[in-house]
Amino acid sequence: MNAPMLHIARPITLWALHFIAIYALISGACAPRALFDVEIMRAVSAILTLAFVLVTLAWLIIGLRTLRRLADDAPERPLAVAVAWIAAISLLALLANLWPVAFLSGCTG
Amino acid sequence: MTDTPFRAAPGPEPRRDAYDVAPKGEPEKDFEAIWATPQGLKVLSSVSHRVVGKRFLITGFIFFLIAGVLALLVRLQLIVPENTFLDSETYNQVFTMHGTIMMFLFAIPMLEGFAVYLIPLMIGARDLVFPRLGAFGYYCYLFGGVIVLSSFLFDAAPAGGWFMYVPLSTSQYTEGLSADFWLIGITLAEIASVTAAVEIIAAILCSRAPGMSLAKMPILMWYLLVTAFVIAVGFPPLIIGSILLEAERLLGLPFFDVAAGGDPLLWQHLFWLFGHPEVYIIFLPAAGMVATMLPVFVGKPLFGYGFAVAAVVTMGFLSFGLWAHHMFATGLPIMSLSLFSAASTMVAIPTGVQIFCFIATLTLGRPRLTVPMYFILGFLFIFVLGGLTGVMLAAVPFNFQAHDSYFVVAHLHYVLIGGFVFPMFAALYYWVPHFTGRMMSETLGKWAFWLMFAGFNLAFFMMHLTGLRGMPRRIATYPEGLGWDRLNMLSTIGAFILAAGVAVFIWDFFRHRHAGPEAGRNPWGAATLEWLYQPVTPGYNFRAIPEIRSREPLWDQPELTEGPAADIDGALRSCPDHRRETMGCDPVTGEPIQILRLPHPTWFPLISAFGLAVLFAATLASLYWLSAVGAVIALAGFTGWVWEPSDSAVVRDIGIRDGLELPVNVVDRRSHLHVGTVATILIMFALFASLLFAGLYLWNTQPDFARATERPARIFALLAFGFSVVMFALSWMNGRAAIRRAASAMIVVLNLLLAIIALAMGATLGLALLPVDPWSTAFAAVGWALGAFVAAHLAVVLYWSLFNGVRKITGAQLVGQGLPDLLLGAFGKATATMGVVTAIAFLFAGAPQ
Repeated sequence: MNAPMLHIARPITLWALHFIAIYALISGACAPRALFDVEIMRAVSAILTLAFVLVTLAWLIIGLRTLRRLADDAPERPLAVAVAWIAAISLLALLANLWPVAFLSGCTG
Repeated sequence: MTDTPFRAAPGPEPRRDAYDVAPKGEPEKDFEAIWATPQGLKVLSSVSHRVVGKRFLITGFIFFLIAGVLALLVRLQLIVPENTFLDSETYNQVFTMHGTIMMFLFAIPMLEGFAVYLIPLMIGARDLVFPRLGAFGYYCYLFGGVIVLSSFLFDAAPAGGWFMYVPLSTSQYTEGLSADFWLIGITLAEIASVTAAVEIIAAILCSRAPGMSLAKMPILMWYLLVTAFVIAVGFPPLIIGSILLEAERLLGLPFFDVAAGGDPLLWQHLFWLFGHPEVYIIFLPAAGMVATMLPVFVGKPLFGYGFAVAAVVTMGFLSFGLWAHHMFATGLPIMSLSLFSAASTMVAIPTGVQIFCFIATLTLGRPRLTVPMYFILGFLFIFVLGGLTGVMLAAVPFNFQAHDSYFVVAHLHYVLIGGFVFPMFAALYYWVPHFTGRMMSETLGKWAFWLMFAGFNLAFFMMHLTGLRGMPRRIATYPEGLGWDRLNMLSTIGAFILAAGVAVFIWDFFRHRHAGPEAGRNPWGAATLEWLYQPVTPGYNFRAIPEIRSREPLWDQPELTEGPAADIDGALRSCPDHRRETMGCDPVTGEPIQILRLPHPTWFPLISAFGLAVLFAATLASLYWLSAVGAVIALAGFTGWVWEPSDSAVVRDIGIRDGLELPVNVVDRRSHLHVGTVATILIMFALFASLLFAGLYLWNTQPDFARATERPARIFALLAFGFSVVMFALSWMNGRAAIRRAASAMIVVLNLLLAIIALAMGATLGLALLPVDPWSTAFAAVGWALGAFVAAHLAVVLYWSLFNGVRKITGAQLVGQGLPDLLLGAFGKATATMGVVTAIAFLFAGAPQ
């Protein structure tokens, strides 16, 4: 697929990868195997989230700039709106993924 | 004009002798006759999307009525305390079958019916790109539904709830065949869903009218496209779960047996990995139909097309992050619960964006209060309430309180009836004139609406209160004096009022067939292409396929509405080859890149589906010789299906843009067949990922049993890894050779090498697994399941390679007609990748015992 499909799919795909990563990290720390300590999980989650948020933020800014350059009746505008909004929603969703890890003291609350 | 410059596809050189024929052409027939639906019994061989779509809709609606009657039985049982109308076993069967039929045999097939019927008409195509696949899917659904329903005849109706939780549904606690009827029948019916996903993705991306870029697609196409991807990824976990559970029941493999390191929660994970996206699979197409109808009755384009696209895409993805909110009370770590709680709350944002698009559209004009509009307003009211209780249930503390109570029953019915049934009735009132050529009654329609709306709210609003007063779900009766009596009585009365509304609709439907006024051309004043012709649209959909310059073509392109529809200028007016054909486009720009040759009526889909039904039903009855017969019939059906002369390597003038010539069935990665194969591979990987998830889950939660599992033979695992890499390379070469139009002899050699390597890979994987006893632990059983899964794909590669080789040797496929090898290459690479991952897993899993 070329540009429009890619731009639409990439921020929310990044969210999906982030969700899987956070779920795997929580499972790694909190399941009976206890692969690693909660603090390690917390640190890795924070680093991952920061990286993912920065990338998504960059896509959001690019999306908004593209939108600003387009005329109101430009045929590409509807999908440019979609690209920017998907990036914005994905950004919020990334932060939502992080909050349990950031605010809960341990696996059991 | 189009918003992107036209890029002609690299077409083959015109050839005028051996290639310049139209295999299976019907020169004795004119254009109308070529597209005509066969009459009499032969109608069963029809593959037309209009025939198949209507079959899905009618069958789905019949299942809706059956499940509705079961719901009324449930309500009758609960109308008064201490009722003995149904005994508890029958009650369990009735509510289980109600949920099962509504979710699997009504909601999804109905959306498939609308999709199959509407997609070609709305995007300017003459049929779906894989008409036989649509017909095959329908027959699988029909046979699967019949198997599930027939359980009543054998007094073996499933009674474990529509979610079939283990250990209740294992043979230890559910003897007899009731759970098998569910697992086998539903798995057969699910084939229709995954085939529909492939069909929808390929049709929307590859067969739009010239000029219909992604931004000019009707909004419903975005909803259906996202839904198809959600189906492709969402259904596989349930398919894998069902196969594992059936294997446990049939063969004793201990996937969910705690004593052997299995875990009942694994079933819940797999089930809800499907189950929550399922809600969106049902809701998104319904919302898309609302987004299509609402602008028509407001008289203005949808507000915020881009916002709606953003909402539907993000909802599709986020829907996969919610599954464990159905498992809040199972003892998962609080941190996991909070993650799913956050995602569940998050999904309210795109849902809200979408609802605001609808509300904003309503404010753009003065809405016409037609019957579909009543149902749309009913949808908005009910669904928003259901969404709000959904946000309540996403909060873990409240969920703990409301868990397994009637509050949850109220919530899910507000979401599902509000989010699907009301939009579905709006859609039926809106598109029935397209099906029948006549209008339904406004007066009766409003009666139907008010009865359904009032009855629904009376029935289900009360359940919030019964739930908050502590009434648990699924109880067959209850003692009096707990404060539930009057609320249950009101709910039952409401359910019967709701049913009366449905009855009015049915009466009106049969009445309008002879007494309804004729629907003129575009009776609602719609903007989308399906209303271009006066209903009932001719079988070919479009005599010539018009160029599209607007998202609302019937509003913005006067040339489409000024004269008779059959006289409109467009592509493919001439039909020199006497074949069914439609335009093929670039998936993104919508520019024409090829002519798609479509199949004529054929019995092969029915034969293949019948073979599968025999295979499944005979397995249910433990008649394994008959299972083998069914498998042979299915294989023969599939072989006959794909054995036909190739159409590629021919070019034709399509009749627009000053004699633009395009290839027939282009050998290119943008081909509909390649896009369909990629969609199939996505499903394969989702199935594979579900098995990997099962293995990783057990490895993580049952470490002692994982350590007690014998390690596969490493030398053979290593060999399998090497063969997988070779297979990947050979598959890549197959694809390249196809695109570069290599000599037949060279591709035959590649086909043979691929077949040999598939055999070698299968053998080494099998030898690697030999030391592992699949009955020893659940982890070992998953290892064998992984091996069997890859082996099944290797068998397909083996058969496909030999098949392609034979086709070339017999002259059914000539030089430059390499589509089958391009597809085989893609499939081979996917199989090889799964082989690599499996071999690596075998290298490290388990421990020497």
